[in-house]
Amino acid sequence: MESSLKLLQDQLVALLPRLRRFARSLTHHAADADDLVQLALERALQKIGQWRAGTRLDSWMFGIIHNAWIDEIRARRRRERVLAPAEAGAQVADAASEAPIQRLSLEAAFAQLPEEQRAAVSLVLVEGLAYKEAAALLEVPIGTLTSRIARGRATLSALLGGSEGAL
Amino acid sequence: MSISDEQLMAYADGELDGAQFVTQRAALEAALQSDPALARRLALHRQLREQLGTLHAAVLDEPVPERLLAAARAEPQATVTDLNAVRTAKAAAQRPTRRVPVWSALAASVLVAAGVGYLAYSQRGGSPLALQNGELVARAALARALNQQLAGAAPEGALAQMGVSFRSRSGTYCRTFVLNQAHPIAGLACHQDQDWYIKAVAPAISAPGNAAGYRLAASDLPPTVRSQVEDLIAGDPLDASGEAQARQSHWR
Repeated sequence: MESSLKLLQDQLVALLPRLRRFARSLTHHAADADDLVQLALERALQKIGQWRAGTRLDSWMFGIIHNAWIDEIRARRRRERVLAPAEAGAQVADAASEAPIQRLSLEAAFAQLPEEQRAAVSLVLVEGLAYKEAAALLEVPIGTLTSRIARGRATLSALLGGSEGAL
Repeated sequence: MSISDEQLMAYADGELDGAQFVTQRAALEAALQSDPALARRLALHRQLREQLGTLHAAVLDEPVPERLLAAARAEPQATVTDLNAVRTAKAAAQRPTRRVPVWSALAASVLVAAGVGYLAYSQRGGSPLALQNGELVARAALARALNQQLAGAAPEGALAQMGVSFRSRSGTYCRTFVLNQAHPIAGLACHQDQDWYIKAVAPAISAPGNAAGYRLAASDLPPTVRSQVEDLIAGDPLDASGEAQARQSHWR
């Protein structure tokens, strides 16, 4: 038992660069991303018994990171809703969609995507997960995942100036 | 057969590689042969996929912070953690000699209150805060503002501006406010038996470039006040009409 935990922890260490990249693409903030990874590691080790050998440890960890991020977003939204007058939220939400479309860096374009599309695109196109794996860890039907990826791609193409809106 | 963009995308992403997709794949590849526009769209999908492969790629080459290596190798803990706990622990680790005792927030509040009292002593109309049976209550202009003033409707030169109003878990109305003075102070007051009891006060976080400060944004509320709001609030804050109704009913 002891040694299998040790082995898993070695695998976690080996995954750290990718976990950090995934967290970075969710948060697009270096310190937040590392905080998120640290939290996910703590949560993962608390429930390490739930991980089943033979399943992908990376998917499992991505799922834990994503859930921790969703918790954080909800907490942030709650704080904002509590503390800012009603109209502030609307302005923030509109800012991205009304911004003039121009050529952006990849990271900046990616940061423009809505939360859900960021997670889906990141898992499939950056981390290389299959649609089925990504859908399972995000706990959405595969059709939902597919449409998030399609919409995310279309937005990115437009922002990066690749497609001229041909998609 | 017409090829949907989602099919094309799935093909570019290798989702149609399995044996069960052999007919779909054949149809798609045939269409690609005869339709240059379709082939261009596929090329764009592949190009984007390749580009995205480099997203935050630099992170992979960064040295992993020591704290994450330690977290990965830590003994499994049974405690429940959240992001704030991580941050608090990190902050504590970075400043080991500056541990803040629990009572200091309270002490700071009292100091602030004393400061407000002192500053306001010379103001016409009396101090906005006073002690009543050992509890801090709003007085004078602050009490009037809490009773009458709506959020974002501070008259010219007003001492206080109102932030959000809400129902607390015990059913009373509470409101956040900022006292405009040389060193602005933010606070939370809850209404009970005619009086507004101050639940938290702290130096306001000044919003740069917003000297008039007529909007109480999230960033303006100090953490001690903010956490009190989060502890006390039941449901959502009042909207403008809810606030007006509460005022109408004298916050009861």
